[in-house]
Amino acid sequence: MAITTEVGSGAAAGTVQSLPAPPPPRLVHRTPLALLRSAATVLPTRLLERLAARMIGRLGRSHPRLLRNLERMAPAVIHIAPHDLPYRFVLTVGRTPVTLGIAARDASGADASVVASVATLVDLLEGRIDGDTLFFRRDLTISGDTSLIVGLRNVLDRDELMLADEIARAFGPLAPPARALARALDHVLERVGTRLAAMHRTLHPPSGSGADLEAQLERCRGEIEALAARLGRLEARQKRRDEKAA
Amino acid sequence: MNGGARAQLTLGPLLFHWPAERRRDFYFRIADEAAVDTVYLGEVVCSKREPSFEPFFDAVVARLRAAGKDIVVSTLALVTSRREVARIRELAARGLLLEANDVATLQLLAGAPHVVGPHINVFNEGTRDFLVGCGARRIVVPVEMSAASIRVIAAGAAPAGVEVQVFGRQALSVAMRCYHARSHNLTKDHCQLVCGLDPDGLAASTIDGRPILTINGTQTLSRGYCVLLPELAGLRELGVTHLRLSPQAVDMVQVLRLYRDVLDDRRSAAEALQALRTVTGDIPYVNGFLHAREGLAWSEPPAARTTAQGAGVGAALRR
Amino acid sequence: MSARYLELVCPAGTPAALRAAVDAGADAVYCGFRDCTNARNYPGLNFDPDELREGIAYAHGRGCRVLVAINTFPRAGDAGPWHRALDQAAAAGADAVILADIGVLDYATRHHPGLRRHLSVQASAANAPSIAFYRQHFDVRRVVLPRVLSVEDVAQLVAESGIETEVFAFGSVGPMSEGRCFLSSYLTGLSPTSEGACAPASHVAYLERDGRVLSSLGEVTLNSFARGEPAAYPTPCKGRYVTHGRASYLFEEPVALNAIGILPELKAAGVTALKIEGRQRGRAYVTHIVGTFRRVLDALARGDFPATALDELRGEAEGGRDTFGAYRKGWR
Repeated sequence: MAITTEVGSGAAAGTVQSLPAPPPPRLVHRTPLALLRSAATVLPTRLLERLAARMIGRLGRSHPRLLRNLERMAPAVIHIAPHDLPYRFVLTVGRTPVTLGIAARDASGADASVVASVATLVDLLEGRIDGDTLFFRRDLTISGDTSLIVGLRNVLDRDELMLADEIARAFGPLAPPARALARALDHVLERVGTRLAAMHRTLHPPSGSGADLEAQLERCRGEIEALAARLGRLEARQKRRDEKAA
Repeated sequence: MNGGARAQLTLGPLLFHWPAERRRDFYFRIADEAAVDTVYLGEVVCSKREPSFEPFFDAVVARLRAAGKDIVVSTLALVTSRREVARIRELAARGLLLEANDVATLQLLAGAPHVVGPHINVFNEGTRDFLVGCGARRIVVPVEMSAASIRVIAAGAAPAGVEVQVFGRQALSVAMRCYHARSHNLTKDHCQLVCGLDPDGLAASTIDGRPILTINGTQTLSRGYCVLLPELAGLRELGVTHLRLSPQAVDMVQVLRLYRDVLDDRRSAAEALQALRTVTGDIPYVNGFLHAREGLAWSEPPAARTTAQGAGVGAALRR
Repeated sequence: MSARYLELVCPAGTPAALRAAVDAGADAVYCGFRDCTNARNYPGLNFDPDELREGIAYAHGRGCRVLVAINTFPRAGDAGPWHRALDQAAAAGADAVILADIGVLDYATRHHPGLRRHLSVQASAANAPSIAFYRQHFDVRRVVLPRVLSVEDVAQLVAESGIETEVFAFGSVGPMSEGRCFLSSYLTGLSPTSEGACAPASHVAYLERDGRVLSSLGEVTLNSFARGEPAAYPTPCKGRYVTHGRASYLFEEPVALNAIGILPELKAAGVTALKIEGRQRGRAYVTHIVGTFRRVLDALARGDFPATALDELRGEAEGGRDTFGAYRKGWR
């Protein structure tokens, strides 16, 4: 049941829930952020889809219990929608196999959705937002069946899941270059973001160094394409190996 | 079970804090006029209310007894002080049957016959059997219980009886904190017995104006009256032996008459329900718990269920 | 732990939270199975038998005990899950089970006489004769005291009953006599006593209207608050109601119980163990609260005044308020 519009009230909200504050974010925090944001902003959708599928596939090996717990949830389609990205993630739980896909930002058809910034969603997925505080975040909106989101949060909190590791693992042997690329992208995107904010503030067009940013972005695009190609080859090789084994 | 002994109507303990004289006169009238088999006296909610009625206690007992009513003395639902424990001991010494509403009373009775009240959780047959072994002669099921659960409890209860509340506000919680005092910016220890200002309890509404709860000192009750008139025959079929009416600030003699009439087939449930509305005014009715719904829900009885002897009654309850 | 000041009993809603609690210095953790047999039956929480076995191994390897809460009341005709939970807890090597229902206590006493039994707060045993009843019939070894008693009540009860007691030290405040509150089922039709979930998330909704957030349970509006205003999860006893034409937190303010400031009083009252509430909270919460209590208790055991630790917990309250709850008589 539970139809919801935007929910919130800031960090000061709550008593039971704001007492005490969660510990400060760990440093590792930046890596998944970077990976997610850069990947989702710049990567072609099809590559992103493949990465998401690989990530879920890998969960079976790295966190078999987590995968099983997702399978044990009530059958549902959950949308995880970062409002600072052009996509939303579509997680189907409560059946085998659990799937993670990509959909347009305004896709419908979810039993429950959670909308927030990438940073907040990573906090949620890594267990830094707990069941009691979930509903009181200014920066987080839940709609549809609230118990699904609570259930997802609890299931994720059962294992010491580090999204950074999972995302990196999805790149397989390409994890180190992917990480490096993500850092570079994040750097670029952060600079773009800062500049956009500055633009709004001053209502003046940016002056100066637009060119070097574009150059950096262009370099990143090149690297992404190379990475995508290498990933494709890896997947093909893996497929051949699997077929041979079967 | 059904078709066995005649259904017993009981008048549950008065939960509200009425002035002692009003309370006495209420029981005198019940003794003289009411179609009721058993009357529960005693204080369930707050021990601070107890002394005021004490001077009238014996007279009320005598009058009820003379009228042929069985008497049970209910005890506190939440016992925390040594004074309250001593009081229960003293009541037990009077030789009257007690209704235990806190496990403390079970311990103090040490196996003597008693009634297990609705504030002791008897949710299943394991607990029922253990308490029958401890001397429970009758079990009043918790208000939350559905028909399906009542059926299981009643099925194997004999020789103990099973009692279900069929009229009046349902007690939903008990606390150490006095919300009546709190609503007057007082505390329990300095409450001035403000609960006595509201003989029908204090209405508590949601912020959007829906009256849903009734505050009665440390107790919280439903706003609506639980009314199980159309379900009486079905409850009998389930094996329920005693049917409890909880006193409200309405004409309880008239309410008891309506219930007795339906049980004795002198009136249809539909007719009685209509008559009850004129007695109870605009208080909403609830029956959700029995039908395994939210407690504040009211399922309007379908036509088939409004006749007391309708064969569909038991089946409807057993769903 | 010869220098133990008060035993620290900590919540574990998930295997990860169990490890977090053990690592943060819990003396014991409590947890439940993934079903209606415990009072925190929320989606995605709790343990299956394998997880419990592993959790117990982890805890025992680090000198920490594991208590299994089987503290709801079986539905009529359906005691199977509760009996199975007892059998599984015993088989997994639990150090104790925390029980509330008389029928379940009876089963445990007959089938698992060697398994230590604690009386859950859900049994609402707030006086010496009640405790004597559970002790006499079921050999209960420890009682988790209801959150309705003052420190003076606790001291008297401990002296009178001479049994190990465990009291709540941190977490949500339950103003009602627990295990006997039907408010949530009155609004939702789902029973906390038998289904194990007060104010289940499936029945909670939030709606923004005119710049305020409305929270509701079932079809009933429980609160309305401005952004940034403290508000609790919409359990019925934390809602705002109108009496005498005035809206107020009739039952309890949105506050958290925090007894860290009165630990010496609880120790003096003869309490054995402190309980941290919050199996529904995350592992980060567990790490933080347990760690803080560990430091304070260790300091108290050394005879230190733990001023810095107190400041730390309070300092991170972030606008939230805490209370001593019923421990102080004025609360009533």
